[in-house]
Amino acid sequence: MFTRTVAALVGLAASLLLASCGLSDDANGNQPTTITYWSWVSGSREMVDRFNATHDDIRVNFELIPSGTSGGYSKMFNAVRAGRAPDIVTVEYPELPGFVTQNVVQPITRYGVEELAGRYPEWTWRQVALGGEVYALPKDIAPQVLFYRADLFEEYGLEPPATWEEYRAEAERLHEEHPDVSMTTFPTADAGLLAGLAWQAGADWFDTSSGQWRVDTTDEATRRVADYWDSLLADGLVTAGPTFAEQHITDLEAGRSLTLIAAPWTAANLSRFVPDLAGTWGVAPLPAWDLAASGNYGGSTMALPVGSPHPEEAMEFARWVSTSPDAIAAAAPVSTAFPANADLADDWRTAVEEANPYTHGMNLAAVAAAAAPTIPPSWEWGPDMTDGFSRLNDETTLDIGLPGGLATAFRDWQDATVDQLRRRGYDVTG
Amino acid sequence: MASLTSATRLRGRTRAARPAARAGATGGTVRPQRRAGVLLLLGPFFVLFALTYLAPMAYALWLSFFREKFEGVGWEGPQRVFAGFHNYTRALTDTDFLQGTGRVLLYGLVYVPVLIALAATFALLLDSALTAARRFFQTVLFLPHIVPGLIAAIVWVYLYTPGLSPVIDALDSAGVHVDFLNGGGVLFSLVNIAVWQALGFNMVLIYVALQAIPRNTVEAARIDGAGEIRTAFSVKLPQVFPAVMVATLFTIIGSLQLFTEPQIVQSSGNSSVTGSWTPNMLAYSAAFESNDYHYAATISVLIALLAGVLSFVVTTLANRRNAR
Repeated sequence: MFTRTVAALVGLAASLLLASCGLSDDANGNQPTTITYWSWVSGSREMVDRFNATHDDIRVNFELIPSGTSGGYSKMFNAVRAGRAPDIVTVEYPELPGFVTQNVVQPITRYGVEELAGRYPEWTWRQVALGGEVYALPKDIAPQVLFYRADLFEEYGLEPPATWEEYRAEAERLHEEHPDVSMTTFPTADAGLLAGLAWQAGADWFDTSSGQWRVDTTDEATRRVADYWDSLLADGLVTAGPTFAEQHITDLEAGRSLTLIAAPWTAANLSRFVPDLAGTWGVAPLPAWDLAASGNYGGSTMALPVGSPHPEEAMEFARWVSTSPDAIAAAAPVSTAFPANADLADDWRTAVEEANPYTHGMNLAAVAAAAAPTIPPSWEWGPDMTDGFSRLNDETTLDIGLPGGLATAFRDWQDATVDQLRRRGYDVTG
Repeated sequence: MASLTSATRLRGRTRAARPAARAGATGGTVRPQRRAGVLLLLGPFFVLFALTYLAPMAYALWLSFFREKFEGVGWEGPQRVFAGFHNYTRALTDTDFLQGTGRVLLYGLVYVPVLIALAATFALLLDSALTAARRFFQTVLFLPHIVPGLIAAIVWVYLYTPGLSPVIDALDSAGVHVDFLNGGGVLFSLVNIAVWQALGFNMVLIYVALQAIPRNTVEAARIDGAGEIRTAFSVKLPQVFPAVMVATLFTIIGSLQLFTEPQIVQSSGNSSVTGSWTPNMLAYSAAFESNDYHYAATISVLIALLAGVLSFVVTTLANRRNAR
């Protein structure tokens, strides 16, 4: 019995040894390097499949993780701390500064990415170039646009409004003639959308130019946005509620909510949530304040985590994702996220229109491409936006709909954010 | 249920075992062997206990005495510095933490008496001869306990959401307008979910204890002319007091750890419940949104302390009553 066990163990050890020799033999040959990519952004898997089909030297292993703010970022943080980082990850623009200050992502300037800078809108590049280093390659961006029900606009004699003033005037008229129809459902818990609106108006919620953090969500521009929506809500011209929740979807389907402040990625969402409304949507530039401008409402980057085992290969993949028309074509059937790289806008239009009939007749590509460069470049994000967004969502859920609710929410949020960042160990002025 | 019956059984056994152990000790020869046996049997428990309880607690305690500092904007990354009691003063001056703690205490103040009173009432009803369909009610009342807390919360949020809920529609048409998800009402909405969930389990806990009461005491009371209610209060309840105390203790600790239900209510986007509504939610958001494990650890230590103090108070009161 005993000898038999020993013999079996020896045999097992020998075969393992052989197997490992065999493995290292292969590695010395022309085996591709396998890298791991963590993302949750729709279309990522399709991009990876396309990359693997067209590349021999690198093999990308795609791992679907929970979306960043629902656990994905926490997973990355812990993996980096534990020394088990994947090779490359998705990070959204708001979270990038926090990931830099917490040493989760590393600079990629040494991989010669600065030569790509000119391909992206100025503001986009400034979102990834922080403190003198580049930290990520922009993958997609989300210039804000206005989705409107073209069929009902025509029926009610409305025109896509060019300014917020016109938007209000049309909302008033609509309210008078069709009291049960609302111009839009204003989201009660969408901090990213509010940030985009403030961004469009010229606000700078965060600023690091003084060498410290400065937080300002009570400036004139934000105030203007807050007062505008507070008054629309107070006058009953728009309804408020969580967007893409049951009530909102019912209202969209019934034609009781006519516009959406949105971004190109919203098209894919709509095709999933309200497939029956195909062909009824038009896309117009976001109504303007003074000059034509837009805000950003989403988007993501390819970032290199600290401890990435194969940074060279990971950067080659990231560069492909950010610059290749092939990547755009691969993701088009499932995602309508707009490419950050302006060179790819035409490829995107062709690919999305071919793959996604829902977008036909929307004029989405032209509007988005025109909006992208008009986004103000000075906007910065704070060092703890996951918490920041969730706190702002809490504030707006409480306050939207009350008199002066948004203005109150912004003021309370600023106080809480300054307090929170200080307690957290950041240097905050003011 | 199982823990209670084994606990009472254990108590009986140790009482019986003690003289035997003494006898063994005087025998002398069995002793080393027995010690080895005890080590062998208890060893794995203590190893696992140390690894999964003591070590993480020590680590959390250690973490709570450090913090991160950032130079200027912080592009260079954080420095971990010794913080002394900084994190503790931070927590004790953090309105989120203080309000959250106040909320769970208030929640407990409502929830614990309501639950225990209802559980005891139902247990007594089941135990009394009045109830015919005993097994049926036992099952029906126990059923919600089988539903995972997460699912229960989702179902209840549906029932609490205006525009979706048939309950709200029915109340509206009767002219009653209630907001289950905002303001002061939300606390009671959460208590309601918790009672619905925990009632069956706690009822069984007390019911099993009632079953263990020597029947002759009940019969004696009856012969003396006590009615059902008098029997329940004067004979049955005093005898199941330990079971009621166990249920109370679990419920108090559970209410301090309130997390799942408010988290779901919060994520519905319709509610005044915030992401830091309870201390556990605050710890969660510190750890998993801000990656601030030092602060999360501090909050956890404080909650554990509070739970310890409350448990101590409750058991002391219970023991004092038992001794009487």
